[in-house]
Amino acid sequence: MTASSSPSLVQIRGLGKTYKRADGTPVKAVKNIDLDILTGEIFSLLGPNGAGKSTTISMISGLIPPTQGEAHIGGYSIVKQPMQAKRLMGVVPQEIALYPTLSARQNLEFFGRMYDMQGAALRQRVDEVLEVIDLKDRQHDRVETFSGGMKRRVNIGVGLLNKPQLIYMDEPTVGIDPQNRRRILDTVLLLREQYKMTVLYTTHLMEEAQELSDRVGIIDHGEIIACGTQTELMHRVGEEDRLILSIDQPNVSDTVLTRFQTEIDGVQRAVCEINPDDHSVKLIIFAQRGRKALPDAIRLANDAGVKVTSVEVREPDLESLFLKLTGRALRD
Amino acid sequence: MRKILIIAAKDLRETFSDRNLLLIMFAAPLAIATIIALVFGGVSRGASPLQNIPIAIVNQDTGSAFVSYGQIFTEIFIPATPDPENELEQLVDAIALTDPVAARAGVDAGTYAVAIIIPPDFTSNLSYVGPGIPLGTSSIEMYADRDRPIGAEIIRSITDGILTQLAASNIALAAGLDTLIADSPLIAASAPFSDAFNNAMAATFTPSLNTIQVESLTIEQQARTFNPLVLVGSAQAIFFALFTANGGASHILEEGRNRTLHRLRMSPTHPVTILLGKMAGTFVMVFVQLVLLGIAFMLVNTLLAGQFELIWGPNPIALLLITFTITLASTGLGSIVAATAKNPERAQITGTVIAMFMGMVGGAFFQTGTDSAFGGIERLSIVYWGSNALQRLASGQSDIVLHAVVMTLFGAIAFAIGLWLFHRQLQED
Ligand SMILES: Nc1ncnc2c1ncn2[C@@H]1O[C@H](COP(=O)(O)OP(=O)(O)OP(=O)(O)O)[C@@H](O)[C@H]1O
Ligand SMILES: [Mg+2]
Repeated sequence: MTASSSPSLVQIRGLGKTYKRADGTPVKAVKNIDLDILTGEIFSLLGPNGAGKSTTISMISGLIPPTQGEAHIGGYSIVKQPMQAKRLMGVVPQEIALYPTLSARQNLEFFGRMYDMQGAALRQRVDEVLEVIDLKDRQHDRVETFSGGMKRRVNIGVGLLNKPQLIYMDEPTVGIDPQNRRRILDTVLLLREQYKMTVLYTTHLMEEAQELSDRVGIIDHGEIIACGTQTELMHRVGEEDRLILSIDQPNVSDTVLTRFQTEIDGVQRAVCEINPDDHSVKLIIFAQRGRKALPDAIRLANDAGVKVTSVEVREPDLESLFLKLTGRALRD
Repeated sequence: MRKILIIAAKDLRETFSDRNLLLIMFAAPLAIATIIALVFGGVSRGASPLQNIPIAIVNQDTGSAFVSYGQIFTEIFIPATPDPENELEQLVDAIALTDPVAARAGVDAGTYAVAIIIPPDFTSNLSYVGPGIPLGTSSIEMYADRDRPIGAEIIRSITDGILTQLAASNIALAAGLDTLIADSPLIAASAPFSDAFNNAMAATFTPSLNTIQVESLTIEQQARTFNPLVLVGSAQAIFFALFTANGGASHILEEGRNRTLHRLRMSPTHPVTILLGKMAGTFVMVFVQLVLLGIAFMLVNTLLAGQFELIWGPNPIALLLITFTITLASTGLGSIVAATAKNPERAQITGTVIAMFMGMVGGAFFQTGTDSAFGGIERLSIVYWGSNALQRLASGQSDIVLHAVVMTLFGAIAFAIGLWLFHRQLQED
């Protein structure tokens, strides 16, 4: 099978990874994943911290051997034909992986040589990449003098050097300001539109997956729990809206949660979510028609003595799908 | 192959953009060796980091009716009434022997750093015979272990100092007698007096005109003087090369930490190529360091000596070969240290401990007078084998084959083990 004859550029079958902790206990980071990434699409792997996104990328880029299963890139087995498979792909790792004391240009040229580029062709390609990541004017400065956003862009640039058919981008927007994030998202879209690249993009941010992807896979605890186009996925959520009430108390009793479900028309269920970071508490009510249920919901909350500080109505999105499937928030 | 060179070149580029590293690689060993060389230059004035250099003195001097210079000389080293405050007595552990053969054998066996052998005619050759007759010359034999040369060098400079004074007083005495005789109305001939006196005065200021000579002999019966810069410099250069090798090899752990190693491994590059590239980079770094230090020591020596000398000896090919094998051994050692360390910090600690050990027993910090001081464990030290070979080359000898073989074997085996350990780790996760 070759890349041109198959619609899927990446085929992942039964892929799994069990790490061993220092004390010997096994950690099942990825469990039995089946996934196809189609030629020319932007595929997002959406999942919370520790879901197994980076582990998956590491396995299908040939960095770590899988403990089970196999992946083919353009028909080449990543385990048995790693050199051929690696030539087809570019990787943008989650961590900045650059030589801090070398300049942006020296970094790009060095990694370019690792992809067997040289001479004028290499110089020209580095110029092109510097154009794409918009760092031409700082190309001769040491990477250690760059801002976080600029380093991220160089990090992306290295992944583009070999004009790959396929690029993996592992949370490329982590820890940077909105302006740089916008730039990076635009670059990702450009890669598909202009350079016809296939993109595997991982993120824990619903908005990014929603904006970029043709298809999305939702990953949690090492398993793909949902996969499809955004329309298909929304279909699975149903017509449910979410009423999100921020409340000023540590918890809501199960009795009260059940009352929302039984006493208000169109409410399927209600859950209480505590954000572990800022300990804010949210009461989330799933309702067939959110706006219609809102007055009743607030009245009932008052009745039950729950102090509501703010209210929000959300249409169905990937977040609600994740919540529906796992009972937990993806969190952003 | 091309990629190995590319990775090595990248490593060199990174190294030479790190000012602290350059300081440790070049400035530190140069400064330390130069300072020590300057201190050793002043040894005869009593400034010495050494203590209790074991020497044997064989005084065969039969003396004259009035005086025995041999005895005077011996008593300077072995006083009738010991004085623990005396600097010279702290510096040397002198013992009087009667048999010169036994004394030389003691040096051969490593019991003494030096044997000083005073010939039977020492005094008579130096004695005043009569007006106008120049004083004879005499020589003392210094038999030294050339593998422990610093002690020997110190004893030599002390001996020189004592003999200069002996000669000066002897000549002054002769001149005095000459003057007395010349003043005597009985003897009118005064012409030779001024010659003798002039020579005498000159001798006290110009060692080469000294009427008493020291014959330096080593175990191989070759006369030789030791340049302290070569002695200390060779050991210091290798000692610091161990750090460079260790740092260079550990750089792969650094690359693991900042994820560039992962990036390399995601490129279509074989893991062994990556490892060989890293090791080649380290190898070149150490080699360049040793060569540049060697050149720098020559320049320092030129400044100190006032003239240019080929202090590393006349055999550039052998010199390159030894430099190459020192590099191989150091880099191999570094790769084992790095391959067995969890992180760059641990590699640095382990590497430092090993380098200190090798430097200590190998003579980078001080040299004891004898071979037996470390009971042979110095043979575990790259500093020992390397500096010993360099010192031999510096003194014009060429029997360094054993040294080259030992270091090459050590380096090759260490390289292989390091490579194997690393490769296994890369495949693990
Ligand atoms: N080398 C390792 N040894 C042991 N456990 C590991 C190792 N690497 C990852 N894990 C564990 O595997 C799980 C998945 O980690 P992974 O980095 O793939 O998650 P992720 O989805 O990329 O998360 P994030 O969004 O935080 O990057 C986590 O529980 C993590 O602790
Ligand atoms: Mg990750």
